[in-house]
Amino acid sequence: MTKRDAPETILKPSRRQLLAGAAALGATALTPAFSRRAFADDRKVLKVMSWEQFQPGEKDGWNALFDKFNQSQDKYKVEWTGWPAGQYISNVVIQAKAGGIDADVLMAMPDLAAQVIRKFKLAEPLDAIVSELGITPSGGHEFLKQDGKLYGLSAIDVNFALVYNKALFEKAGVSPATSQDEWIETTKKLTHRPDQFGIALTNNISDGGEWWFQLQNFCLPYDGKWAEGKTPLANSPETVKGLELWKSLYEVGTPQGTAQSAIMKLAADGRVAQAWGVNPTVVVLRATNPDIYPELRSAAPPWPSKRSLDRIHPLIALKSSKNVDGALAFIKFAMAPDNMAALMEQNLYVIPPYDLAAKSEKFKSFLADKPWVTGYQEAKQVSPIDVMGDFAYVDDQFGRIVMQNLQSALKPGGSVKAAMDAAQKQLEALAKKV
Amino acid sequence: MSSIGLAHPASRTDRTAAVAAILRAALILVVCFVLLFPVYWMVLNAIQPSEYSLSWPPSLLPRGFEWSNFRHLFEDKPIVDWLLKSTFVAAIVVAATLIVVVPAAYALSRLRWRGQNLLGLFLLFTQIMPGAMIVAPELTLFRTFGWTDNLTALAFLHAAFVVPLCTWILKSSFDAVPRELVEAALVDGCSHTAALWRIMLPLTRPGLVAVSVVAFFSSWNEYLFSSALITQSDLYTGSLGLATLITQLDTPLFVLMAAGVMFSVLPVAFYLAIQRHILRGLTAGAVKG
Amino acid sequence: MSAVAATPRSRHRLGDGVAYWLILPLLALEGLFLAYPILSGIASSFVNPDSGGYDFSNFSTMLADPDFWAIMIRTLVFVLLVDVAVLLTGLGVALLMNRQFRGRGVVRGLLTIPWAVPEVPVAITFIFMIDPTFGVFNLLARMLPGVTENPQWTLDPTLAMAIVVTVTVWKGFPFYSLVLLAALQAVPEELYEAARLDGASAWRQFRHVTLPGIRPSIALLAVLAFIYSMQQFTLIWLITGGGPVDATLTLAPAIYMQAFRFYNFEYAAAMAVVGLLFSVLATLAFISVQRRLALDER
Repeated sequence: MTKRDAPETILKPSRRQLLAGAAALGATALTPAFSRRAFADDRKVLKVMSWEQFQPGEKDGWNALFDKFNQSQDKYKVEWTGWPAGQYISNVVIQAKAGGIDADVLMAMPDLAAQVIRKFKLAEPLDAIVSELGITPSGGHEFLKQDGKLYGLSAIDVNFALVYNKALFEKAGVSPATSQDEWIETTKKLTHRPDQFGIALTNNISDGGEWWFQLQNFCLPYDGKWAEGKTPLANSPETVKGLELWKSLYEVGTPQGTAQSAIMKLAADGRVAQAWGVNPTVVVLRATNPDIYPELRSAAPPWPSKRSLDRIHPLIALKSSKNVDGALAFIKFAMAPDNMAALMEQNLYVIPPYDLAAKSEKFKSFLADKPWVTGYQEAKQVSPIDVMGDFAYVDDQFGRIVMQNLQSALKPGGSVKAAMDAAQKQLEALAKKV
Repeated sequence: MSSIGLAHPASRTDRTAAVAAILRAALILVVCFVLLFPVYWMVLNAIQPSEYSLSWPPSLLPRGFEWSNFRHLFEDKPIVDWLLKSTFVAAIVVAATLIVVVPAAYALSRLRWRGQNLLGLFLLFTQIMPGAMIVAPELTLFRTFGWTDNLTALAFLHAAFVVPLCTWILKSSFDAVPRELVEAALVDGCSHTAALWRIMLPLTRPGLVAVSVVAFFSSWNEYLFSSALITQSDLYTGSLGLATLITQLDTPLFVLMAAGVMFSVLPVAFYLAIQRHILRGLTAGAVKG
Repeated sequence: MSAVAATPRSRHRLGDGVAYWLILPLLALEGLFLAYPILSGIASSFVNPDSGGYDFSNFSTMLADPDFWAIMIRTLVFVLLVDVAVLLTGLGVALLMNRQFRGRGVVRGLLTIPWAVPEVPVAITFIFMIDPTFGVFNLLARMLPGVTENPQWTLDPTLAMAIVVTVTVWKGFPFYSLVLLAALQAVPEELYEAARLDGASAWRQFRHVTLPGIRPSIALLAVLAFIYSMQQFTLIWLITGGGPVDATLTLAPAIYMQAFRFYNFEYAAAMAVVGLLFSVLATLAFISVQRRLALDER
């Protein structure tokens, strides 16, 4: 990364001084230049494959973690490899098909993680790290388990809640909804097309992945599921009702047919009152428009159960690595409470991979200090595996079928039920292939 | 665009010619307007503040100027470095393509030999397989030879992709040169090399321009193979760098439009330079057979 | 195309040996970089994803899948529309640019911009232009009688197809006009002079001088447009994602989706091989048409 060519204004300190200094300052950009000099290059290089080095709001936190690891080690040093998020999965698959993933540690989106563990069978168990650190991974880790072993530990855990712009809410004199009907009402009050939109919902199929992540939550408002085991439930009354709620919001307050890119720009310009989104939405908005960050707040999902999905992006140690020990050492280092707490603070991650608040006072006070995290904390986490059944491992394919069919319900007079009946048929066909 | 005037009516000064010229100028203006409107829209939205772009009804003229999208591109990203890398790769592609294509097109157009038809089919075949299907084995190949993260090797791959197409284009250019010209030269004792060099190439400059431009452009924006074969960020070409602008949850659309403008400047400049250079020779009377 | 072998050539002084030396660099380059990947890509279509052995299971699954046939029909529609539209646009621009007028060099340069802009900004710009809330295309649509509201461009199957065809043609036409322009310039000026002396109208000049002169190029470009639009992936994927309700899901995005989204790599390879056969058939048809035309001329 270009950040590595940071200015070097301090004289070369000893390694110990440096460690102390880095820890104290939490310095990010200054350290790599030193660490490179402090050690001869006889250390083995560990490649961490990820998309995080490209994320404007998050790369600094990760670079700091890398530097800390490099300074703590005389055997290994970590380096980035990978692609931006949009190109990530296809390139990892290309590598896997070309004879192997050229990395030691892999960061993966949930769907890819499931494939790497189950289909490519490339993951190394991480149970030893869990027991050595004495941590209890969060419930969402279930889909990373196979035959009783755990194959991934959450690097980034995101969940859904209602993000809102406090200033716009105050101007309209409304407070965040707590029930489904109220949600539609407040959204209506907050919408003044085309200057201001009550809610940002991704609704364009060219934003396929991101639309599905949001939409996937809408089986939850009325306690439905997308599937149970091998049986799809796309046209079950609960799920259809949930999607009808989505459609009402779409009709009442969303920039219809507008791409995610323009929606995010509208949000950054302060023209979107609320969004159904993951906590990194806040991180991105902080990076794209720092002025709006102080106005952002979150509220729990506006339905009685307050349940919403959380998506775990785990670190995986690759079995194919020549330095499996090193890969495990890095993951263990990243998971250590102090390091994880520092990463989460800097990157505004608020859902810890394990009971971190119990282990780190610093993290506890960090959360207490952030006014926008309450909604995310109140949301009750649901793992995709809980609502997707066996389809959790073909999540993208399932999502595409739902979205494609839902499009026919978005036209005037379109029926959600009819669309989901059609989807159900296709999903039943998919079930046979799974 | 206002520079489009009428052609000199030359010797024909009568009315109908003038009317025809005016009509033609109007036609050219209309065609340019329609075909270049998306480019205009890209530029417009890249240079005006986003609140004007995100408004209804859209204004056809800029309502303000703001350079933040371009500033983002030049200050936060090493765009100059990316474009230099792309230029380096594209230059190799053009050179390699010309070296390979000229003799092959000559052989296909002017010589008769066994396997000629087969080669034509073979060339087509290379174009038909979708990139998505060959990118993984290509990576295997590059790994075997140790060519990953090597821009020169990438350039040769780009050349391999575009050479079949360029061979056809140049071959059809060669076909148009009157047969008698070359044969007369050969009868006079000219070697094939000399016939190619002194007769074919000067007469087929538009074809050579076309081939160079096609080679340059095909490499310039290639993404799929570049992203699989180049993973070091200090080797990023333009297309790889461009992809880093799009991150999870954020696609900065107006910055991307600014990038679209910036990324098209060099290829168009290349086209203008090469067409002026070579076509001028052409109009100077080289095609008088 | 060599197979087109339009004119009988004399065997005078033409040895096989020279030809082989001349094509050697080409064969070396293609053989080194493309032979293995293409063969390996084809081979993977025969791999049974469950057993890992070689059989025809991917093909039998595919041919029995109605979705696959729907994709093929859609692909054919898309390809034919693009093929015709891009050739007409390319030819029109080439004819215009072949005229003498002041500023011609600059205009030619400007008209190559669509080709030079990377696909991602092109897609982003067009998505923005058809945005139902802010897009400038809505102004255009509202000029039509009976249209009072901004259309939902990507929710209407016909509009969505029209959009992806338009963008593909827009992005592609400069290439076609460049090649056609080169062909137009190779038509000997003497032929036009002779036609003018005969008092031929502009249309007759076009019909009897221009068109025969550039026909080989048009035929070649028709095949290329076929092959390349078969492979159009990025623009479709970014603009409509294959929607609405799969209305713009052609073969290339379907292959990509199967391989890189659904992890069905072998199945995707089988789809690619069928697409390949399709293109080969089109090419053979092109060659035979070319041959017949060449014979007619003789």
